[in-house]
Amino acid sequence: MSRKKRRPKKQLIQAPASPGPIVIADRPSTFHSKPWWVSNWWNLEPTGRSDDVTCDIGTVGDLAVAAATIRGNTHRHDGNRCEDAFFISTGTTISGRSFLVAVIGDGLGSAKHSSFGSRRATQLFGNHLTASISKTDTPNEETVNTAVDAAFEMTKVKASKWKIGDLSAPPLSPAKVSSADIETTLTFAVVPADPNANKKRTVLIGSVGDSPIFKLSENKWECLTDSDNGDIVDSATRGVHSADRLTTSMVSIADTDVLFLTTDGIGNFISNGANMLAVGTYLADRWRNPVPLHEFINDMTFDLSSADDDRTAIVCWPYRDQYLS
Amino acid sequence: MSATDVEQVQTGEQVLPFYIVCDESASMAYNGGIDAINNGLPDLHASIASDPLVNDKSRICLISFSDDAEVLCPLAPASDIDALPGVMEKGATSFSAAFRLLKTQIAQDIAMLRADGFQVFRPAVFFISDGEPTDLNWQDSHRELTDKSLNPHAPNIIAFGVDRADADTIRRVGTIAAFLAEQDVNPGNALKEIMRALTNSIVQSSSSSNPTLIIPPAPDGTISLPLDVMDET
Amino acid sequence: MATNFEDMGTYTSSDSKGLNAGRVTLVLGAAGVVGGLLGFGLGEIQISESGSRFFGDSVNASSAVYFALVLLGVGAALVASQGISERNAQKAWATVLRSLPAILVGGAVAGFVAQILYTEMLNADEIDIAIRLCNRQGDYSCTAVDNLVRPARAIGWMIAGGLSGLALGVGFQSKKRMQNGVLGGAVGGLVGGLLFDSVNNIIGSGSAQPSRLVALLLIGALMGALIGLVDTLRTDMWLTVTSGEMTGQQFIIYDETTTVGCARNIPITILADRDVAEHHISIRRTGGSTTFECLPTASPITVNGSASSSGSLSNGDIIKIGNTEIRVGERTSSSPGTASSATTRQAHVDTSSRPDLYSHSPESETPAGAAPPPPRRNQPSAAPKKRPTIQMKPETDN
Repeated sequence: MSRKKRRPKKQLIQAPASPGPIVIADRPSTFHSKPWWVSNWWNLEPTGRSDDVTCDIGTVGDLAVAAATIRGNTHRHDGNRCEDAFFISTGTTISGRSFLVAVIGDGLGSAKHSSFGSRRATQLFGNHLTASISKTDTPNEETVNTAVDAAFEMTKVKASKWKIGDLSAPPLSPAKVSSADIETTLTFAVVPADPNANKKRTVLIGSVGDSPIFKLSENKWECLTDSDNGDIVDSATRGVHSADRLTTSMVSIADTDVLFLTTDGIGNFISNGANMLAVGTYLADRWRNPVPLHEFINDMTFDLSSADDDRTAIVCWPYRDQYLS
Repeated sequence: MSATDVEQVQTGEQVLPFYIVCDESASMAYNGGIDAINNGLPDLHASIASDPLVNDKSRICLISFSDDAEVLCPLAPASDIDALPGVMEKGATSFSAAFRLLKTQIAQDIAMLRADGFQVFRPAVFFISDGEPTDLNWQDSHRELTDKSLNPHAPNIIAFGVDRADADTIRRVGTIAAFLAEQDVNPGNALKEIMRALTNSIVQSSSSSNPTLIIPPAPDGTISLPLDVMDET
Repeated sequence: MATNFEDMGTYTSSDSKGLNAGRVTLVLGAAGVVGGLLGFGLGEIQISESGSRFFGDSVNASSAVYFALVLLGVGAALVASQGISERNAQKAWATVLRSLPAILVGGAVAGFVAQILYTEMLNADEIDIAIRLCNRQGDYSCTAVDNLVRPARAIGWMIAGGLSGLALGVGFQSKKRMQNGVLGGAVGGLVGGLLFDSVNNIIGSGSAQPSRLVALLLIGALMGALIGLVDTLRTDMWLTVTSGEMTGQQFIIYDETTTVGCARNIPITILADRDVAEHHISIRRTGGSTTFECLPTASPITVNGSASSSGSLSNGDIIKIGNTEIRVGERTSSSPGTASSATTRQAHVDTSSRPDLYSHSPESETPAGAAPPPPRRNQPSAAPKKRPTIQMKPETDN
């Protein structure tokens, strides 16, 4: 056997020699070795809405929030729609306290209509949760968890109800589409948008599936959801329609921390146990502070060999006033 | 944006290792098996190397076995391979030798990949044989390889049998799928289809954004053996 | 009589460095010589100064005892020789003990019958006349007496040899061995009997003992060698070990069913190979075809590299039992009287397929000027092969 290449010394990032994304650790993908207009690898979804880039940026209370979904190279290569989705909504409680609901969904690869499934589930869950919390006076752990459970159940029921012709809905009646065909992960966070005197806030997080939540604290990403650190990655994951309930927990976020919800398209490359990986190091450096929209999208479209899944990130910087200067 | 040097940065790139394990017993020459495999290797390579996603994510290793087992091509991306040693007919059919080598080789490869910062998905083994094992107690080596409580790196095995291969034996070798060539099918032709099927399996498994071993449908000229009726010994 | 060739087969160490073609015959002959020596010693028990120690009043009975003792020595030596050569004392003792009753009974019967015939054939008056003639002529060799006695003695020893050979076959529980034993033993005994008196004449001592010794050595050697020769000529199938510690050794397949394994008490014993089961395979010959079957608990063997639990065997097949490779040799039949080139080539194949009991492996000796033997069916190439290098296709732009 003969080998053609040797791996040169790694660099964290490298400006692209030709038009293309930022390369992480000098490990570019073959996919981006040619411009998209030259290769035959970057294909549109024939029925429209490939969803290469979706982005929301804005503020609520003292939170600065940036969210984006980037279509993965595998779906570009196959001419399929992006299967990730995010939904961010804001609300105000009866007592006037603002909050953010951030939801992420990653449609399962085995689901035929996973793109619709993730979009539908995140929207339903986000809307219902926001509406439920808005009807409370002073949300506490119990009331918010109750709202979460209700939103989850309602999502499971209503996700399978649509009319043919509804936006992005499968061109089939719901009776002909099983829940497995619209299966998706679901990860969410309810973030109070008001500062506290002690410069911390309690955030309710929850998930079903493998889309993780991180907290950036002292330049290091800490995973707030379960992760498996074995030698072998097993790719099995559950989704909304196959799970009984969401796994939730309350976490404390300091004003200097950054909250980061993501799908495994980025999440798998953030850290390996206690060790930060190259992408994690890069994003930790980049997202220490809020960034302009175009830079946010640029950061999201980093190039790394084998990182070819759809990517979604919702990044939340509390106490945005600290970033004025 | 300026480049920043980072010593020992780990990327966590994802890798799906595939091990193609071929019987090199003498009978493989008479039934056209050797030629079918050697002729199928360039096509397998081309299918993988030409797909930008599959090539980045998959690693291929070619192992042969007869009296003993040998790594013909260490685990590597297809695009790094210009030429590789083909299979040739040799002697007996020692399954134990193949399974023992797989166990040590997989452990070594995963350790090396992990040390280089890769995330490794569970390896997949495509096991091809045309006869009965000539060694006693091959099941012990098989169990040591595939039992996850004994071997955390236990691979998924898809077994293919042609010619004189025994259905029960092939069924016991496969852990997630097993296929046996039909009686009236020329073994060489069956092996051509098998090579095609495993190529497709590698391509489809690696091109998924969430790598999962895609079990191929039964190659032409073969039947799928049900694993759930396997007798435990 | 007894022979190194047992049911299992006869074996001989052969290597490619020029074994004498007659080695087996010589080995068996040598065993017969040892047996003759033993037989002489045992036979002398029966001989006393006054005649016979036991049953002195009955010449027939005393002959029976004498023959039984003599043939006990010869038979035991030939029967035990295979076990001794295998360094398998257990096998040697087992076969001797198994053959013992048949040898003793056969020897006794042979002696009894031979004496009766000897007596009937010889006319006492004619003997007296011949002796007086010899004495008057000072003919020490006494040709006249010899001419009278020789045929009777030859027939007597022929019967003794034949019955002893039969007894050996009974001891080895082999019908074919019985046939071979009768034939070889009878011929050996006949020849030995014919030479018996000549030995006496050549040695010419005053005592009969030395000549008796030499004669018995000769008879034992001839019996062993001729039984071995008959075994070889009547062999259809044999196995030659081609790897491991027993490389070069051969086993003749005598019987319809032959067991191969590492057990010490079966026809073909494979030694120094832990992967061979005690009873590994059973080889069956019926109607000219040969099949094998792995016995329960034994692992499959390979036939020409392909694993199998049962199947057919034919000339040139290489079977591997455990780690030991064995080549199957089979005598192929040829039509008598035809002179076509096809037959000539077939005859050549026949020649090359003869058991290599007297020389090297068949393929190492090709008669000068003969066409090389055709390649064996399903034989992998013997020359070491080089692994091919498979070039990958050049990458094409997508």
